[in-house]
Amino acid sequence: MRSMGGSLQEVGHAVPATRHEDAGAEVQAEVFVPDLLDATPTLRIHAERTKLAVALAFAAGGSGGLFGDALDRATVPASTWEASSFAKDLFLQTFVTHCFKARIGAEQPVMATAHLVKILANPPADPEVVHHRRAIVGELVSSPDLRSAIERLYGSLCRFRGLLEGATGIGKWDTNRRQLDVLQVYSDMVDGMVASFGAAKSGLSRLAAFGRRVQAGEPHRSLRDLLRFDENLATVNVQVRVGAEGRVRGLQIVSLRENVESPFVGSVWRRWMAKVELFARGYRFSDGEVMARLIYAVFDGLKDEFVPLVQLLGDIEFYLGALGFHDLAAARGLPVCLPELALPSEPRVLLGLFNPFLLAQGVKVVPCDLHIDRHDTTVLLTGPNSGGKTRLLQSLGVAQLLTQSGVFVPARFGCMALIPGLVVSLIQETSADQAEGRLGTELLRIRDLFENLAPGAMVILDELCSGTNPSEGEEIFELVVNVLTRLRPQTFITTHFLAFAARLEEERKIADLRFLQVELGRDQEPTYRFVPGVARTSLASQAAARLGVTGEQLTSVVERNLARARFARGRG
Amino acid sequence: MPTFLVTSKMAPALAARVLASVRGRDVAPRGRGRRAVAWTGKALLSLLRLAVLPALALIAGSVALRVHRERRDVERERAQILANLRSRGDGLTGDDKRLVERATAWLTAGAAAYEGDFVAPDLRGPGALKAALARPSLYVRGLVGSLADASKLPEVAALSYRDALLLCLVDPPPARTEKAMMARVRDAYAGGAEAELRAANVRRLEIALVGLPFLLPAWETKVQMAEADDLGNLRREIDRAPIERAKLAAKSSSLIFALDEAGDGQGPTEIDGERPHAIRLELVDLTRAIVLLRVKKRVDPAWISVDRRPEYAGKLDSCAFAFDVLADVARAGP
Repeated sequence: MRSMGGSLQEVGHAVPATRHEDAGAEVQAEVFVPDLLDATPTLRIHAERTKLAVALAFAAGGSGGLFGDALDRATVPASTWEASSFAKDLFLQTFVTHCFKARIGAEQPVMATAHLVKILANPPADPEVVHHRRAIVGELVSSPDLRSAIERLYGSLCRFRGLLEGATGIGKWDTNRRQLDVLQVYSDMVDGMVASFGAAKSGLSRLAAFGRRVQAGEPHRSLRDLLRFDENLATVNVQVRVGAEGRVRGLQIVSLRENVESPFVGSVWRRWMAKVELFARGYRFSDGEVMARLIYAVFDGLKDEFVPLVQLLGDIEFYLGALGFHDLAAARGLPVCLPELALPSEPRVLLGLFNPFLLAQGVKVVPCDLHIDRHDTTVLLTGPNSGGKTRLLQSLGVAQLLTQSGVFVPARFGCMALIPGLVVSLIQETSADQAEGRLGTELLRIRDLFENLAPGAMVILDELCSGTNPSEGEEIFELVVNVLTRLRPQTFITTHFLAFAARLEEERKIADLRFLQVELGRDQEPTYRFVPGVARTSLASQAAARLGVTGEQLTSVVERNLARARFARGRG
Repeated sequence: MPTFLVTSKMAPALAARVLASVRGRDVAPRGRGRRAVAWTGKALLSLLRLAVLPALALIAGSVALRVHRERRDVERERAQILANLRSRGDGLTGDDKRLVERATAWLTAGAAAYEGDFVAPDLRGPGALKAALARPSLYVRGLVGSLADASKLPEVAALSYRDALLLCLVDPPPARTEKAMMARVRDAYAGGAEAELRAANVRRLEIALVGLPFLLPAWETKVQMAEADDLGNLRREIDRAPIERAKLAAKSSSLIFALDEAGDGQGPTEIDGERPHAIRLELVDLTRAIVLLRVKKRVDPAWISVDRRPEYAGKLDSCAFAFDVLADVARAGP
């Protein structure tokens, strides 16, 4: 999935792969791409196209969407996950919009949501990439200085983007000023990277290494000289004589010193001839035109370095989103964590697991603990309606996705294994053009599942085979579970076939089958926690009573309607 | 070709980029033909602009040269005018140039309340008056009221010619008869050579008034301060001005002026405006700044024949007045 075009891309690949444990070695190497998402610094945006867009934006200042377009087209580290198998059912877009949003002080910047969804929907296949990201997240959350530095860098990148894309409107009146501002922000960013991330241990150290490499180059030295030249062509000492009444009576130039050390400062005669020369070459006859040529010459040496910054903006948004999720949960008293990584044969542990979508809904969130003796097993979830089974499935899916992406999971503690794929089926939608009935559609869903399922992948199914009569449904259910075990998947299935589940538990014919049920309180109300075993009732009557669907309640409604109809006829 | 934007302090790589930024980018990087077209276009533009620069310099130089020449011509003309004025003023003393000023003072004084008849002892001898009247003189005649106001002097002087009074004074008729005086009247009426001959030594004050100011320092300053456009007008004014005749007038040693008082209402006014009134005559020695003669006499056209009265009453009265003045001075004796 990595793009290979462009010289920068080649440069990026020329850098040896870096391991999070070996950040020191990276400091020594020259970093051409400050890539924060991949273990190997890689340019994931199209180098030539972005460079052209940057050059046009720098010249014209009116290419709104440069960063957004580049990030939308950006690739992500290689992934074995198929987004279509889970993204919609896990409401990934909603998760990013509501839970994965950055907060910098009181500000809530607008981030490239599509890019973030793409990153999360394509978690890396390479465990090294996961480690790389976890190291960065861990360092950011443990070091307030680094977090503050990354937020400052992000603010500078946003300003850089605004100036480059002409969002500020300055360029309409003074192109040189806008371009100098772009260069100034760029210079400050590079200096800031070196100063703020030099002590970083994780992949953040790439920022410092990138900054150091840029600083050491001639283009950056020329940039500094140009900015100094812009600020200080000459120094004039003026003596002001003030009269007794306080008014200025006279001005006298005491001394005039040109900034002769600057490579951009020539003699007055030379400056004048430069204007004449530019006029003869087809440019305008002005000091501004001379400055424009110098700015362009400096920019020409730097534009290759601008391109990775476009990608960097998207990368930083990913980590700021993760930190934003951390802060959002913490504000509700729900700690999150970077889970420990385990092997599939080791226990799956999630303590204080909560559903992140409930954070945005403002309802009370009840965390639950989950402990399953191994990952590669099939878990049947039973329990009453509205007992939290589907919410648990969502939480498990999101937790797995975030683990795989190398960021915080919605749990106080986690021990999770990396998996090659995820298939989630939580929504049972009907549409006007569907060819099959409910059962047919569900069977097609099962067929698709087996078509796409990689060995060892995670499967999350909500109410399998609920669209037909229980006896025939149970038969299909058993078939699916039996065949699934051949792929050693990590499966979570909810069902209301309680007798069937109880039989499976009792018979133990299918290996590696585990059973969880919704815990009920003393008053038979669900506690939204889960315990081993199979539920004995779905408590449908309780749900019916809660929603007003008992015999007595329905009879009362019918009587009321009949009375209303009689009254209407009497008046007529 | 190097560029002036590159300095010796620049790093070679930066210098190369500056040069590239000045040269501009090839807009058609693919295809030799398109590149050649683009190069040709840029070269043409550069050549055009390079051609524009000398052209602009040439135009600017031409304009500067033209301005310089015009200024030089103007200064030359100014110098010529000033030299002309100075040369034409040669031979005149300061008093000569201030003749109008001195005459005005006498005229204003003479138009004031009449101080009584007076004949200087110098004139009492035989032929003394005739000799005095033969000296270079200025003459003006006007109404008393007009001459009392110095600002009206140019207007009065413009209307004052060598009239019958002057001709009869400097060259009196043989007898105080209407017929004898008509000869002088006709000479005065016709003007021209005859009047010039009879009073060749007498200049009209107006000539001095018009011509002498050109020889004063104020006019020199005016020329020096004049803009190029005004200089031509000043030169034409100078050319038209009667400076030579004014120079002659400036040498006048006497001032003769006659002042007509208002009519006394004791007789009708004739068709030519003549009516019974008094005329004052004053002869001033400008050299010595003394009054030689001051006379006042009443004239009345009643004695003139009916045929001549409508046309010549005023002139005949004037001639008769001059004749009587001469007679009175002669009778005054030593």
